[in-house]
Amino acid sequence: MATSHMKLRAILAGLAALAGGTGLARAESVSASATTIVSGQRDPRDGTVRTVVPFLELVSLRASEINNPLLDDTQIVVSGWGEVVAGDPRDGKSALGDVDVAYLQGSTWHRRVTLRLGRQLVVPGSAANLQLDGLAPTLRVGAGFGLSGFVGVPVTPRFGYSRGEFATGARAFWSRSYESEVGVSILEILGAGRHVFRRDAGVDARYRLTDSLALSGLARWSLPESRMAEADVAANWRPCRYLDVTTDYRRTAPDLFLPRYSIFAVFAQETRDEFGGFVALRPWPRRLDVQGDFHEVHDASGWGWNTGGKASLRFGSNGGTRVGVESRRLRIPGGGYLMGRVFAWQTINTKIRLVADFDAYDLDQPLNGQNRSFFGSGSLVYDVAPAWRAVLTGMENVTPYATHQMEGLLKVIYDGRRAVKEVRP
Amino acid sequence: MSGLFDMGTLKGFPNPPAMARRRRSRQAPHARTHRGAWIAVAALGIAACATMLGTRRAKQPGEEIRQSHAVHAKDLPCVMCHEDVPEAVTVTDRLRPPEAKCLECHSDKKEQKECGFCHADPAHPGTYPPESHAIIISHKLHLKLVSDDCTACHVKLSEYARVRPRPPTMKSCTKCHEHRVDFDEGRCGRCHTDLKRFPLRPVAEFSHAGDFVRQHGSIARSTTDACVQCHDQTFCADCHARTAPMRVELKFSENVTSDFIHRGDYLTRHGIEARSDPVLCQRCHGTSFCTACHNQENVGPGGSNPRSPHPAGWATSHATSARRDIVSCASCHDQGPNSNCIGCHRVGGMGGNPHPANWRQKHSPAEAYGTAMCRYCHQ
Repeated sequence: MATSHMKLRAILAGLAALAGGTGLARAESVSASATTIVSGQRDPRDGTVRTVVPFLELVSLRASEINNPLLDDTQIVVSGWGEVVAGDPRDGKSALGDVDVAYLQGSTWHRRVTLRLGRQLVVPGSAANLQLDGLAPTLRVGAGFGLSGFVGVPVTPRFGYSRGEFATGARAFWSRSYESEVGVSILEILGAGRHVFRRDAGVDARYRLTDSLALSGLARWSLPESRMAEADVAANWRPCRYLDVTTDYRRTAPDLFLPRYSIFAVFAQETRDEFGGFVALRPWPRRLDVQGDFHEVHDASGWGWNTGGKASLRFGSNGGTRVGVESRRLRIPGGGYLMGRVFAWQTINTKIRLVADFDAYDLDQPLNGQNRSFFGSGSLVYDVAPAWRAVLTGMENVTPYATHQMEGLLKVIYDGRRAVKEVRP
Repeated sequence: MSGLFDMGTLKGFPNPPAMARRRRSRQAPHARTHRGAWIAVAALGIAACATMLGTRRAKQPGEEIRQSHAVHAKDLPCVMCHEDVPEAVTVTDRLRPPEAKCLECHSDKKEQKECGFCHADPAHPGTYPPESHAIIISHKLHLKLVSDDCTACHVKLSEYARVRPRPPTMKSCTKCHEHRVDFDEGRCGRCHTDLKRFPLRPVAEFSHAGDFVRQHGSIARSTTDACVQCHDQTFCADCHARTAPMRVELKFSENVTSDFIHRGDYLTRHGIEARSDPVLCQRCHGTSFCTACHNQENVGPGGSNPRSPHPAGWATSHATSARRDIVSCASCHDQGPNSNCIGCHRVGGMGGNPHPANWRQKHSPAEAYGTAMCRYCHQ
């Protein structure tokens, strides 16, 4: 943990030095957003209800096209938050904060090499969205071929323990177009004492066969266990703008998603399979959307299924009124639920919108002696000025955990972007 | 495409579940409070402000210098003024003629102090406003392709009566076959250094309709470059950052049409969802996330006054459930050497061998005594 913090500090200091220290850097484009959230909630804790009032500030900043003599396309992206909690916080801590992303990115060598340094998400291949403090370079050698890699310290989740002390990986890829790419990758994450947290090899692909048909898939192979940790294939068929059909199959080995040094990693060797499809219809574009899905689930405990549907209709002038219904049924051995939901929004004028949402659950097995759960919320959205928005939300719960729970939330958002140049097709 | 105001269908993937809303202020034993990080953030903020202050003020291009392309292009070749263009491989401010170039013809105006002949504000004569160069283009290469005919791309420039820069429209680029293919295949990065602010048609056609929330992870892992054309990582971090402070469903509470994972009363259904697809939870949260909350609710062994949530007779009937859903067990009992499974399942214990049937085919006895985790039982 201390190592992670020290590295993050060094990275941020480096970014700061490059951003402002030399005087040579100048951002041609800056966008920033800030969201202030004040909420009040009644927090049921093991039989008693306490009041908690968090004040949360989320800030993100993106400075791009920073002219400097070292790198092309240089950008700095920072997103973080701080929170002060009034009332009766659960753990007694009244001030918290963290950095979600903070990285410097730039290209060099005729844009064949891209470097990203700092806290970032490493998405491609086996890395699978690994949040990392470190360096991720990409090399494009030409003809669509390239090599990317990363090295650093995995970020510890909130409320969590370390996800490893050191992570590294690489991916070789061939890109035919922006929506067709194939890659092979390898990932290693080491925990305390150099124990292997994960060591995977993977293959991933997305390929558009025709204008209307695309295939995607990935597979991760656990090298220590010599078996498949994850496989996922999907086909998406979009014959016209009114119809979208997807069918997919997934296999996962849940125990392989536990750290390899967890004592529980040695207890189970099971797989979970899921296959099914999704259909979306837009019979009345921009007005009526209908969609449904069904997936069959199989694991060691037997068969189950997960199905749902959703429809929304916009009407009124400029579609200012929108209503929707949604339902879902999850049935697995030993439990399940039926969910029903209604949502709506009404545009009052160009600045004000009202939003309502209500959902109810019927549980197959009682929880705390209760089978039903209800949740409702209403929001008033006010676009105060360009780039400024205020949202007031009230929520009411009746759940197996609380016979009555209210929560209020006030949100003020600034989302400012400075467009410098316009390019039209 | 706005990250805050219109989340579309992208905002549906895991983030801290419903417990986080009620337990936002809580931290697990090893969670961070990050004093050092705040100091670094403050330093970065100051530096960023310096960067912003250094950003040139928005000015209306063309208001500083009076000049008519229509007049000049009538009799003069373009390179007469734009001398550096034929050899230019990148777009820079230097491609515009300096004052010395203007004075080759108009020195008399300067001698007569007629600053207003060129400068829109004679009291404060200035040079051209700086431009953002978000396009990658080699004039040197392109001029060869069009036989030095600048109007092949700058179709309308000679008609303008003012200096106001108007870059060629993208049609000028896509009428060439090569760039047409780039355009059709969305290889935006070959020309655009930063596409995020421009909602161009190929991006719109790369639709997020259909089952995109479910599929976007797989797609993003292969074609990340397509995603970053519009979305920087702050967009991903809203849902996927392990450090996020609150559920995205609360952060965007007014987005009722978005397909969020933890919408509504997720706390009630989280146990069912976790049994249905434990990997989906594990991807973002890890078992320690579960443990921290279960202990505080006193349903985990680490609670101050723990009570067992298991039915009577669980000690003798738990094997099947554990084999089927070990992740649920780990959500409370994963305490390393202090895990309560070790007492019974260690070598010689009354719980017997807990390993799956073919365990020995993949793991040697030597491994059992060489790994710290294995030695918990194999002493």
